[in-house]
Amino acid sequence: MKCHECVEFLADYLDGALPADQMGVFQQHMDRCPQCVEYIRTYEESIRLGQAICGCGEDEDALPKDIPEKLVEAILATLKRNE
Amino acid sequence: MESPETQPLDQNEPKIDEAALVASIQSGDEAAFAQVVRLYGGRMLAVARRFLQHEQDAQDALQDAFLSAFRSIDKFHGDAKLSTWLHRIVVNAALMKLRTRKRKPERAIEDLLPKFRKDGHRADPTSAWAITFDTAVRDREIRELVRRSINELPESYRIVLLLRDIEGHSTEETAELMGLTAGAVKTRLHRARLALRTLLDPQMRGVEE
Repeated sequence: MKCHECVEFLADYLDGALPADQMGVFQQHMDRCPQCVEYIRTYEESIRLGQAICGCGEDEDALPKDIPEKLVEAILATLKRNE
Repeated sequence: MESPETQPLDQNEPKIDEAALVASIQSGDEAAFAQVVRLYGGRMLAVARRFLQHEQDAQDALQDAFLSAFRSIDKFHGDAKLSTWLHRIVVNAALMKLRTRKRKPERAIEDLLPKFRKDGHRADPTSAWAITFDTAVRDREIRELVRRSINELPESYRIVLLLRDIEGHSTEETAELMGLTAGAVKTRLHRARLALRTLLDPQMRGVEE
C-alpha cells in the first residue's frame, strides 16, 4: 500500500469498516510509515478540535448570550403576522 | 470515530420549567413565547451562523425557526428537551435557507487535499503538531483558527462536516437532510476532514506564516 491509498482508506479504517485483508495491508503500511502514522494522528486531532471548539455548549467565544432586542421584536412581529 | 452527543442549547442556563413554559405557549400565552425567544435565541443564532455565515441569512433562519416552532408547538410533547427540539428546528431552517441562497464562487476542495507524487508518496512531509489538543482548546487564537478553517471549507463539504462531526447526525440522517446518498456523505465528510487538517496544519505545527 502506498501513502495515497492509506489516505483513501483512512475513513473506513477509523470506522472499523475495512475488510480484513485490506486491514492487514493497511496495518503493514502503518508499521513502516511514520509519516502516515503522524498524518492519521493529526487527522483525528482535527476532528476532535472541531467537535470541542464548535460543538454546542463549548463555543463560548461565539455564543451570544442574548440576541439583539430588535431581532426579538422582529421575530415576535413575524409570529403575530402569521397567527 | 464517534461524534459527541449534541449539547443542549441551555447547558449554562438556570433551571427552567420547560413543561410550564410549553403549556403556557400552547394555551396562547404570547409572553411565554417571547420568553422562549429570549432564553434560547442566542444559542440558536450561533447554530444558524455556523451553517450560514452571512449574518442576515442567519437571522432570517432564526426567524423561520421560531415561526416553525410556534406553528408546531402543539406537536411538542416533552419527549425531548425543549432546547434539543429548538436546536433541530434551527438546523433545518438553516439548511432550508442554504438551499434558496445563491451559491458564491468558492475554493475547490482539491486545493485543500493532501498532495502525492507519482510514486504514491507524500509530496510534502508530515510533521508532528507542536500544539497539543489541551493547549489548543484553551487558546483563543487557535479556537478562532478552527472556526475560521471550518468556515473556509467549500459549502457542500462544510455542511456535511457540521452535520456529522459537530451536530452528531448519523450518515443516514445527514444523507436525508442533504438529499445525498450515504456513500456521497462519507466521501464528502472524509474530504472535508482532510481539508480541515490541511488548513490547521501550518499553525498547529507552530510554523510562522
